[in-house]
Amino acid sequence: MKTALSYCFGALLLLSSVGAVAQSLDPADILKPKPDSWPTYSGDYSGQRYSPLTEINTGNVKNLSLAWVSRVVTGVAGNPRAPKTIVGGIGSTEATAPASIRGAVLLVDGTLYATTPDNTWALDARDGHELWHYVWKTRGGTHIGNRGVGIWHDRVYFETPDDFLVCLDSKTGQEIWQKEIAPFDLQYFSTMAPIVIGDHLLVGTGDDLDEPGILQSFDPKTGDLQWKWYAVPTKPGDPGLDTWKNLDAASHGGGNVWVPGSYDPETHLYIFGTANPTAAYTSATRGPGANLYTCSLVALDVETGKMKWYYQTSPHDTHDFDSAQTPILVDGTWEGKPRKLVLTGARNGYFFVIDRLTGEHLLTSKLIDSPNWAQSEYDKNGAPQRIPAKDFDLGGALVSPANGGIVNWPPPAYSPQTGLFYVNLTESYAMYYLATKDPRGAMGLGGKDELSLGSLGQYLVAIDYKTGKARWQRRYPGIASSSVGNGPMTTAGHLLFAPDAAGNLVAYEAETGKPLWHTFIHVSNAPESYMLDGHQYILSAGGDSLYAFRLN
Amino acid sequence: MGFSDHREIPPEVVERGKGQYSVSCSFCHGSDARGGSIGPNLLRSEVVLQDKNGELIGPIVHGSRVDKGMPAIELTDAQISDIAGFLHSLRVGGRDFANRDTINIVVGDAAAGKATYGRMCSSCHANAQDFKYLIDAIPDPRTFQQAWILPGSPGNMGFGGPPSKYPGSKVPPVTVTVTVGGQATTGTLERIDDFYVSLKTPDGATRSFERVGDVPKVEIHDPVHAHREMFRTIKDSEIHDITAYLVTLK
Repeated sequence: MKTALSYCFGALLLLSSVGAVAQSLDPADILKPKPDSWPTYSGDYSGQRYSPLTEINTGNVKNLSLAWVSRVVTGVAGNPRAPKTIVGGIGSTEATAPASIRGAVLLVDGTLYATTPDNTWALDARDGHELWHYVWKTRGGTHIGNRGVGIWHDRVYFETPDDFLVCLDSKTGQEIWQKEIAPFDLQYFSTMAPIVIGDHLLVGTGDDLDEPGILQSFDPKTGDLQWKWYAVPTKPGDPGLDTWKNLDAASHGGGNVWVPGSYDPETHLYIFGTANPTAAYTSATRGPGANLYTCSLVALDVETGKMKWYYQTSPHDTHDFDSAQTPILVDGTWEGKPRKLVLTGARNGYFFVIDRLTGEHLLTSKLIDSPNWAQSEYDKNGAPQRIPAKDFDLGGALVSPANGGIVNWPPPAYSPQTGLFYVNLTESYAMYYLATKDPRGAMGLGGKDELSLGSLGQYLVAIDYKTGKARWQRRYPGIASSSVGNGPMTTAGHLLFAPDAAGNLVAYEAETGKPLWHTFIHVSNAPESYMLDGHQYILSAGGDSLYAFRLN
Repeated sequence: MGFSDHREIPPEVVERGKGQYSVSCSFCHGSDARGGSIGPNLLRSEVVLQDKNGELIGPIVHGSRVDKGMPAIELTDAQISDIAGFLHSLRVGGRDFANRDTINIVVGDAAAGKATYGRMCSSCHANAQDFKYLIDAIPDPRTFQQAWILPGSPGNMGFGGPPSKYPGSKVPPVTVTVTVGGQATTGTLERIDDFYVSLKTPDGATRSFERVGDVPKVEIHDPVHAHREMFRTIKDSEIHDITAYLVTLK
């Protein structure tokens, strides 16, 4: 009897797996992505944003041209030429902002999945036409962006600004389940692209009030919580509590996890960055300590959620300089010996090389010369030491960078062909003024007025991780703005694709930074690449439109 | 779209709750509920943020946290509901614009500022008296300070902040001269990247040019270039002293 039942069950599984050939992703395939896929936020788990494809290369990239362009329309009405929008959500409000695709677009089995806050689309990768569109009616919250979907087998997951994790059928866009991932009343908002690792679905959130940062792992099938990691101490005895004034300060200490991290399958470590401590500016209420584990690179065992190591890139941050950036895992050489490394460029303007097995600090340098908020000497851990007079001043403190950072959430890239770390950055400045003399300080991001002074330059920089110095840098021409450019991508065709400061997508020779091709599409995300029907494609979003390029 | 930063509570409830709060709670939690010498900040309290009508606050007021130092307070459910109404009427948001003081930013030494002005500014701006009109036009010293550090700057308060009250600027626009085959075209810079430059000529027409490397020749004229260059070296004390000097010219 039991045998017969098992047999039947097995046959059912077989049937369902046959039926799911289209639009299904075995999580094991993310470990070694197929050429015709972009199965996770960074294209693979390393965060390198390096495509091994070579059809498009330095010799022929000048012939790259448009394959198709597809425009998406937010809201329940959606695109009148597309299938009827599927509507979900527990709120009553329809966010009406025009579409701006500012995250990853995933590709599985010939279908592209793109998002904006409250909206998810599936598009046919062969011509860009819309297959389905799902809209979440919202309770409100900060609709600042959405960084894309995660995919597990035939299911698609995305986060909503009002703190739901929504699971959709990848073929139809029909909702399978929804789950609240953080208390909306505590002003959490959620933008991160969920990251699938085996049977774990990693989900982060944001908060600009004084709530603790959280990374959670859910069962992708049921949505049940597997583990929950707090970025700051929330109860007596938690590690790091001695770096805070008291438990009340620590448990209101921020450190949100709002940008996808990277994953090392050999050690099962998920490595990611945490955001700024709160209160962000009036920091006396936090005590004089380092405020762990805010503004840190953190390595968690993905099976248990337990922390293996951390490295704090901004001890006791006082400028809202999140260290949430996606880190890059590199099997490199260090002082002549092979070594497993993690590289990160932080919003505070500094670049770090860390041993990713142990968290040992190896190198700190500046992404560009301008940061002036820290002393010239690093502390005993190799981290920048803040100058308290640069927190703010009654008369104003001139600080580089401005609050937006030298870099921000847009990802960097790396090419194993050149050994270079590529990033768009801005040399921004602002005056920081104290806004309240209340000795209790302010909450969240309050307590200071930051008045912009623009930027002295926006740059594309290629950093040699072995020295921490720029091999080359290009200043984009003209009067710079303090906005940080979108992320680049490298390819095995010896190419670097990077959005410039004016809105072009540019292909450069990765070794030298020589421009070889460009197109003016107001780039709004980091470019991606994949094979389809024997052609290599370059995919990039420009606001409400997706552009696919290939050699025609 | 953001979070609603306070709830609509009937004014009579807020009034009653405020009175009851001041009698029973403010001694420990502060008259503005932002915390006092003993009690924590209630505005960012998870209990208060998630409470609707006193149902979460009530048990704590009645003694459920005595072991953590919160004494039991004799209040009726109706009184607690009023206090909850008062707390929920207060603005709570990540930017915390509710907690602001008027702070005088003129902290520098005017005499030192006069010397600093002579050293750093007078080669271009010989007579500081020329700025009297600007000082008179911008009564707020902080806005004035931003205006002299980077004339024509937007001066917005960073992400999500209220707009500044920067008055109409007289700073001339950035211009560009593009020279093709010995013929120069000059106009207001509209856009430049590594592949393209466009400008608006005085008659209002837009002219655009393809750029390939250094061809054609492009010269950008930024009227406040020297101000931007100063950011890398000027000390905060020099900024404060120059401001203190200039505001004496009022």
